[in-house]
Order: sequence, then structure tokens, then C-alpha cells
Amino acid sequence: MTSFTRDSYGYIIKAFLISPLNRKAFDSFFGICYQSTVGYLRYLKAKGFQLPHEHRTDGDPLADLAIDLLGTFLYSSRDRPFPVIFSYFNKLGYAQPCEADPDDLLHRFTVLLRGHIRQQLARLKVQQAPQIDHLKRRFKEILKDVRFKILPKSRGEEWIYLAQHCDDRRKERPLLPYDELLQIAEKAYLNSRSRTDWCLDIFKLVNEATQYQNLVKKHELLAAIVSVNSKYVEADGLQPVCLPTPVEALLTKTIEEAIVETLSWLKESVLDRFIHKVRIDSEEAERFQQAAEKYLSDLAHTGQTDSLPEYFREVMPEGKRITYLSDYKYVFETTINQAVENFKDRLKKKSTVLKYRDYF
Amino acid sequence: MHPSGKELKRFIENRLDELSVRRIKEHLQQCEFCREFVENYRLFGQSLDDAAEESIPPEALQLADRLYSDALAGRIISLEPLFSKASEPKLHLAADGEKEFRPRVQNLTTLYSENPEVIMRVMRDLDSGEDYLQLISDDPAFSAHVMVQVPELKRELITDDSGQAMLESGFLEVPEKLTWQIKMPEAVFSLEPLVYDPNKTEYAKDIVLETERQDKIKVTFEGKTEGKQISIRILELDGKTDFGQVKVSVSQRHASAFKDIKRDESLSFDLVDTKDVIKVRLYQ
Repeated sequence: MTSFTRDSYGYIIKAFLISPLNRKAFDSFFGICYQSTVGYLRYLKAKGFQLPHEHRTDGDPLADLAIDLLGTFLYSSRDRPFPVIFSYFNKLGYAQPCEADPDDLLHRFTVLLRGHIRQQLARLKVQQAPQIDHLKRRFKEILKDVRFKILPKSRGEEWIYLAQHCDDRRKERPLLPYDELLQIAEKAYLNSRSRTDWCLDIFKLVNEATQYQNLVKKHELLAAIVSVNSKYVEADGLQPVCLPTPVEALLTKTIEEAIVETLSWLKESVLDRFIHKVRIDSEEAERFQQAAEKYLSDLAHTGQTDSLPEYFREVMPEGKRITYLSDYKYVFETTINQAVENFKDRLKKKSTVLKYRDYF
Repeated sequence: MHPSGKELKRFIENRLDELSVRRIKEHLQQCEFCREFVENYRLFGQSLDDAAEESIPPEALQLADRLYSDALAGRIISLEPLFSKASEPKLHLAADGEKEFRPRVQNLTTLYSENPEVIMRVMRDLDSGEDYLQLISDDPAFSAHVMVQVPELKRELITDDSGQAMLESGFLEVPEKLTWQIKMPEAVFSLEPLVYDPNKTEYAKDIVLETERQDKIKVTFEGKTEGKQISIRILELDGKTDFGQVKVSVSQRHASAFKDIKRDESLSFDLVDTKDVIKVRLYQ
């Protein structure tokens, strides 16, 4: 078995999916699984993860860990060879791998393998996300600046506000809910270029939400920052280990069922309404449905999504992309947001995913 | 607004036009978040590139062997007719001369499987009149010491290490109309020379072997006056002791033995060579 250049990975995956019991196809596929696993572990190590086996001095600790991880990734049951791989690709609609695009297969494979590694590492109780600690430390340092004030601890909670609002804290108004804070943190992130600016922008926007008090709980602020940072800075499957990705066969089946049901509901309850109001035509509705499917699939299988305009760009012809803001933004965002809401509601009702409630 | 993750990846991979590159470079000078993303992505790509250049260690290759064997365990490989018409001797003409070519074997039918690639030919030796089947595959796992089943006739045959199995006379009236399939063993045990030394076996000695799937057998080595022998008894299959009847095949070099056994029965096999691997295969 030799090493493979990364350019050939998609073709190797395709050959394996077509002939999994062909020894040459299997050996090549195993080779790229091994190389990808070691590469990903090396990356995690460089990012500060304390991986199992690191204390071992005999042999290569990352190779040992990769072997452990691949044992569960490529196992076969009595009924079926390689169920982790095939249940995933079948559910994604790759029942005919001959016709699949190798780049697409590589992307899907990468998502699956990294999800599996993260899941297994979580089971091995790997120290969770050292970069989160680093980020929190950075923000705690920023909050020590004289521009911020911290209210004395109450029941273990610290409250933070901008010093300039010292005399106008709108004490009579309700507290800012966490969901609102999360949206504010994301909006502030998109408009800032450094962590200090980001932190200041968050408080500026909090102050502009005049229906609430203009202070935030410190632990909620840090949680919101970590969440937004993970979404953007740690993109491409590099999200820290928090909760396992639900790729196990049964869960995948349930998720795929929920996606199909959601898309059907979306067409009847949302898209047809927009067509009726002449906000979009039926061809655009079909493309929006495709975008919703991609979005839900990314959300369900990776826990991460790109920005909404990215999905719009993927499904719409070039001529219509430039009028996104003026002609489509509202309809498209409403479509996707409603799809996500409906999808989550459906999952919460399915018994198979009850233990993963926190994930959703 | 920050560039999207996809745009930044294209930037790192030099897949953007000049204008976009300039725009992203300007953005990166001001934005620590996107700089961090780019650093992450570069580090990630470098980690993958480094790993892709390394060879795979022997321990990982052993794992690959085990995973592949597990994938094959108990699988049924259906064989489809490639062409049904049996080859017939050509008509001999006077212009062909005196020496008539007379093949020693006749191909009765050919069957195949596409995934995995296996060819099975049902042949007749015209000299001896015996029929046999021949499995052909790049990977001996699909041809040597595998079980060929004909469900309509409730017949099962085990091929030898060259992929051949003899067929009883009269067994094949219309071979192309029968259903032929290969059944891979549920479990394979390998007794390496280091594990046993029959020359030192002056008395019976037991060894228990177990697979990761909780298939367990007991192998007893016996030194007898007529030669060295092993006997095999099944203890568990898939972790269960009430496994009913199991077909056991033992092979060493060209020799093999095959028998249906139950829990308290055993299969005996005369060793051919004291330095060669013995393979034990279980079929259910």
C-alpha cells in the first residue's frame, strides 16, 4: 500500500464505493482514510488538543490513535460491510456512485471522517477545545479595560456594561435574553476586524436594543462569543469538540426523513405562498428548495453552515445573484429560517434523536 | 463584511481572480478573524499534505487486513452467466490437414461477478470425463478455499488452493441454468508456524483461538504414530454456544478437509507440513 496524492482522493473514494470488496479499491481507500486521519490529528495537536496516547513513547502516538479510530470507522457488521460509510452515502443519495462527482464525494467523505474522529475523541474524553480557553482568556483581558464596568457578583454571576452608560443602565427594563445576545454578537462580529472592536461593538448594539437593560451576563457573553467564533473562524470541520456529530446510521436515517418531510412542508406552506404572491416564480421556488436541502444537510451532518448568501449563490444563475439584496434577500432568508425551525421541531418530536436534544 | 469561508479557501488555494485576491489581501491586513481562519486552513492543509507523504506503518496494514477480512466474512457473491452456450469442437475440414486439434478440456459454462471481480468456469476434462469448476480472481481470497453453493441442488463445494473443486459425475445436466454463488467464510483462523511446533508434540495440546467477533475454536495438536494431526472443535460462534451446525474447512498447502460439525463434534486433519500455515474457516 503506497501513499496517495490528495488530488486522487475523490477518485479513490468513488472506486471504493463502486467496488468495496475489491481488495485494491479497499487498500487505496484505507490508505486515504489513514492519511486523512493522521493529518487531522496532527492539526488538532498543533491547535493544542491533548490527544490520547500522547504520553506513549513506543511507536508513533498519532499512528496508534489513527488505528484505533479507523477500527470503528471501517468496521463491518454481519449483515453489511462498512455500514458507517455506506449508510452515510446512501442517505445522501449516492446509491449510484458511478455517476457521482469525485470532488463532491471527497467533500462528503471529509465531513464524515472528521465527524467520526470528533465523535470518537469526545468519547475518549479528549480535553475539549483548548482554543476556547484561549479565546475566553483574550476576552477576559479585554473586559478588564477601563471602558468596561463589572457589577459586583450576584449569586455567582458577573454583569458587564460600558462605563459610559454608568448613569443610564435602564434598570427598569427586562434583561437581554441570550438568543438576542447571540444575534447581536454575530452582527457585531460581521462588522468588526479585531476582538477588541468586536467586544465594543457588542456593547454598542446591546445599548441600541433599548427595550432591554444595556448590560450582559459575563458567562453569556463568553458563550455567545465562543459560539460565533466557532461558526466563522473555526470553519471547515475545524469546530472544536463539543458535541458529537450524529452520523450513526439510525440517526442519519431519522435526520434524512426529517429533511424530506421539512422540504415537503416548505413547498406547500412557504414557497407556494411566495409564488401565489408573485414574489418568486416556480423555477426560483424549486431552486430555493434545493438551497434549503443543502443548508439542512450541512446543518444536520456537520453542525455548520455557510452564510445564507453562499447557498443562494450555489443554486441561482449568475444573473440573479447580483440582485440578491434588492429582490431576494427577504424571501430567501425567510425560506431557509422557516425550514430550519420546522426541521428542528420535527427532530425534537422524533424519539430516535431525543438524547441529542442539546445538539439541536 | 468578511469574505466567506469558501472565498478564503479559494484565496489560499490560488483559485481567485486578481481583483478578488487584492480585495482579500486588503481585508486580511485589517481583520484578525480572517487572518486566523487563513492560518487555520493553511495549517490544516499542511498537516494533510505531510500525512499524505508518509507511508503507512505495518500496524495500520495489519488493521487493513483485518477490516477487509471482516468485510468479506459470510458474504454471498452471486455469479451470473457470462455466456450460456458450451464451447463445441470445431468442424474439421479436409483443408485443415491431418492433425486435428483436440482440446483436453471443454468449457461447459462461464459465470462471473462484477463486484468483486470473479470468474467461474465449469469445465469437463475430456480425457478423464471428470467435471470440475475453476474460480479465477486477482485476489485469492475469492478463489482459494471458498465455498461454492448451488442452492437448487442443496450442494456445497469447497475449492482447493488453486481455486478448483471437483464435481460429481451427472451433477451438471444444465450448469448454466443453476444458481451459483460463492459463500465467504464467517470466520478465518490462521495458525502460524510460530504458534505450534508439531515436532515437539509428544502429547495432545490444546490452543483456543478467538476472533474479535467472538468466534472461538479449540485446536488440539496430537502426535500419533501415523503422523501429526490436529482436531478442531467449535466453542462459540458470534459469542453464542448454541450455533447449530457449522461447516468447517481446514487447509494446509494443497490438502484440505471439510465437514459439517455441531458443538460437541470435531474435525480431524492430518498435517502436511510442520512449517506451513494452517487455515481454519467456518461457514454457517
